[in-house]
Amino acid sequence: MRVSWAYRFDTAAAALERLQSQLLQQQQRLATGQQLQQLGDDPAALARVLQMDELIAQTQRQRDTLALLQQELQVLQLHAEGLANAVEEIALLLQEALDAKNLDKPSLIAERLYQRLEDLVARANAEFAGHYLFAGTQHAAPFRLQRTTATAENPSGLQVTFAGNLQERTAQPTSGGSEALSIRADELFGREGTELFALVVAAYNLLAYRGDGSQRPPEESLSAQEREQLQQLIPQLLAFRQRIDRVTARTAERQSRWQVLEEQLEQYLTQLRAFRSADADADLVQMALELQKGQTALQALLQTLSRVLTQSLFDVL
Amino acid sequence: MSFRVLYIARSALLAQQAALDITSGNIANVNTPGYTRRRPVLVPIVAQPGAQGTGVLLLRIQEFRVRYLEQQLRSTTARHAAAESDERVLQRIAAILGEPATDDVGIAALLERFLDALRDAAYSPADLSRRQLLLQRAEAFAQALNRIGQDLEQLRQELFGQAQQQLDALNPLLQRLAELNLRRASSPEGSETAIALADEQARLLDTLARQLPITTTQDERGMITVSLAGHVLVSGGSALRLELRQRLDDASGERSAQVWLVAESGTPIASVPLEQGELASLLHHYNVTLDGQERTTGFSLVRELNGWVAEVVGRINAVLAQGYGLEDTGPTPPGRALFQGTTLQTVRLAADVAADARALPLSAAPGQPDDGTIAWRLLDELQQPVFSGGRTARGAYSAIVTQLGTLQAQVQERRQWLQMSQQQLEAQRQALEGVNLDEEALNLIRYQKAFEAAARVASVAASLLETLIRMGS
Repeated sequence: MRVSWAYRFDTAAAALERLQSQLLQQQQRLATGQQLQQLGDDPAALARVLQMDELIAQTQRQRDTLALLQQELQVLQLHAEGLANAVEEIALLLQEALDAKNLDKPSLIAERLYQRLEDLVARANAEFAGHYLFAGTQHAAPFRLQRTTATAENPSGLQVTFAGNLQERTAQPTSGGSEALSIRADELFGREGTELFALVVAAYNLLAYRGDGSQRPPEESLSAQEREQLQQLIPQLLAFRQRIDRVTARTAERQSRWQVLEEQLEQYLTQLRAFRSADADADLVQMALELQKGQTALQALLQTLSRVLTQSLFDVL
Repeated sequence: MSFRVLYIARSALLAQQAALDITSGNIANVNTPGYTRRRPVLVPIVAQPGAQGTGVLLLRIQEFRVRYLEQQLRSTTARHAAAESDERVLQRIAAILGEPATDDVGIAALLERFLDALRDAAYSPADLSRRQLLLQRAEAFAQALNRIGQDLEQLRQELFGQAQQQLDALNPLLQRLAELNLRRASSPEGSETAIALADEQARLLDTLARQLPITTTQDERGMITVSLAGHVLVSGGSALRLELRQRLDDASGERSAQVWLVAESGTPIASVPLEQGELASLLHHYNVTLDGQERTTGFSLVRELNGWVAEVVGRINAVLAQGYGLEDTGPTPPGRALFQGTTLQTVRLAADVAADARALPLSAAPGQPDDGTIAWRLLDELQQPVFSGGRTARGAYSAIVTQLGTLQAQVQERRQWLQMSQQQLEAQRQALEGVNLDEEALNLIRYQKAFEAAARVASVAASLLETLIRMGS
């Protein structure tokens, strides 16, 4: 084939351009560590990478959501256990009041019981991450200990009111599945969320007030009827403790299930990242070899061109 | 003994000198684009049949032009130029989208950040800081869409400007081709002038072929007729003008650009559908790829993205319309939306929600500020395959990006294949038409030696004459 002077240079320039462009692409892959530099590099791989990116982001979000919800459940469990202990302590205090050696100390025990009631209300108003744990879907301190007008049934006028609601806060840590995040107040504290507190108030009234509604003088003992009444309150309080324990156990079971799910998601994430990496990340060893090959080819081409292009008959004439 | 030998020597000197001139011209133009090599056609001078030769004559200059190859090369050039332009435009578009994003600036990444903030707000819907963060992320998402919409529209206008510029540059070429036709017709065939004019014609046609899928025919006088999509652009000494015109469809609002043939008087003759050439590529991307109102089945990125934005915004707003804000107490939901506008360029945060994060309707019932049911529902909706094509919100966007990637890969492949094809054709053309320096060096020696020999003949003839004259005296 007849080769023109211009064509020799044109083909040389085209070969140089092709090699340099390949080298630049390999350098970019090596520098960024990414196989896909442009959308058009490999559309099939691009589709897989985009799909993996979405799955990774979704799975990460699910995992993070579960971690967040688990934290709340841990705190919820902790507070429920605290409540159970507080109820048990109240029951023990009542038992103490019935003890023969404490017969003359109902007023003193009433004072201690009042403190326990305050503590119980404070625990029932527990917060985590801006939520009142037992307020349902309301966003205010749900329980309030207050004194209302004294009556024959309630001579102290003490009352614990519930300002929350009995709705469950729910979350959707995974697609489609709604999970209860909170514990309803009535589950823990009985009817309308106040039954337990009413029991404690009743015990307080028995200890601090006489049957006629007047305040019990210090060192006045409880009557046999009052002791009987107090005795009946203790198993009711212990029933509440068991109730709280059951709810706590259910929460622990839910937490454990979520933990397993979180671990599964973590494993899934690792697999997804590996799948993504196979398409998106550059094989650095392969790239380094390709780069070396490209450099050698470029050098060979430059040497060949420098020999071939500079020779013509004019040089030897 | 006569003076004939001197005449023969003279004719040889003149012919070899002309051949040397032609060879020098070839060497001088070795790098001139469009230049085809020339060869002197030398013939013996014969006074009459059977008579002794009386010297040599430069009959004509031969040019090496292979018209069928040039035609084929121009057709390939038009397709290659279109593919190159397609590749450039698609690269620009890909850069605007910024996918696959390595940082958090792409649409997909911003959508994920919005979903993360939505999750946080769903978890603590009464928390104002989380509501505020959700609004910020929603705004960042909308702004990214706006930026992409504006950049794509800007690119579209830029393409129109480029098409306009290129068309403006083509009209003088057409005019020049018509002038060359007239000059070519009046130049003797085989003369240096005729060949130089043919070179210029070829150069102009090569330039024209990059932009337009022209076809050419040549008559016996060397005049070239240039046609475009069945319309004659240049014929003899006259040329039509090309104009770029925009057409606005009142019904759809679609604005398209077309190339029109215009008579010298300025009267439009016909619109010309272009399929190949750089101009066709620019107009295709203006009329289809970047046209949001495009109604054909071609891949319109802006239309696809607008459709996606409308669907995402529609679904988000539909879910939130069932929700209540922190201050809402009425029995029916206020029907608030998060976004207004349904296209890349118009999507914005809804004013009432943007002004007060409390108004974000995340709860399923009034007066239940810590209920994030609606927010969870929205999060779920956006992650479920309920969008077009049975995809998720992000999946639907990824499908558009993948479609763009596939198109880019096809264009790259086509461009590479056409480049190879063009190089092969160019090699064939160069093999026939191009100048080879070594060959010219040999010719230089050949004609130089012949010139020296002719000079020697003249010298010998002069010496013989001198001898004869001396004998006579």
